[in-house]
Amino acid sequence: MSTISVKDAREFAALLTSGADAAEAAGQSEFDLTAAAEAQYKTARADLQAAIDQLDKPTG
Amino acid sequence: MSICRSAGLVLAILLAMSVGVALVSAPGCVKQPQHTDIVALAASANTTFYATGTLATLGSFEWDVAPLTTHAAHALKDTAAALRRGDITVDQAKAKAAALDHAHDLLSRALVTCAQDDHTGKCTGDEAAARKLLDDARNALASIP
Repeated sequence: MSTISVKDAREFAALLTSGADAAEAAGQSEFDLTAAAEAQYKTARADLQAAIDQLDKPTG
Repeated sequence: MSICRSAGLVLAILLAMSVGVALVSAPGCVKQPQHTDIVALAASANTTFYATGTLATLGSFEWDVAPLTTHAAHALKDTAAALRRGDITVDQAKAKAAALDHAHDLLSRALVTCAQDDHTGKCTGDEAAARKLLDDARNALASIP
């Protein structure tokens, strides 16, 4: 049996909800799940990189 | 159909829906996305996932990949928050970002290898190799502290 943690399930449910809300607001009846997940990853990755760049200044 | 038989049918449908909801609300252990699970999950999230076109791809390969991508994205968010709080060093954050990027790359390669057909939800490419990449990505994510 495959399992998914409660935390992952809630995060995935949040992705489904936000994707559905965005699609509905745009007047669409469906959306691309993979594209939504990819966008989420890219946004989070860019935010982490910004935090790293901000704190990773050379001292001297 | 008699009223009694109709009522029985309605009760059976309600019972089946209850089982689906229970599968996703059981604490700590939820089955990997199955049709009933996803429909119940979508229902609990108050979404509009009953559209026929979307249901056609439920349980497909992309539905196995997306939760892992979401997991990786939230791990990135947690890492950024920990870094800003000063709970981890920049080097630790860089190492975690690299590990998550590696897992994300495996997921991307799995999607390309599967080459899912949008209409049938089935892989048109090498599904066995795609499943192997998916397992590798899952293991890579699990190994990240």
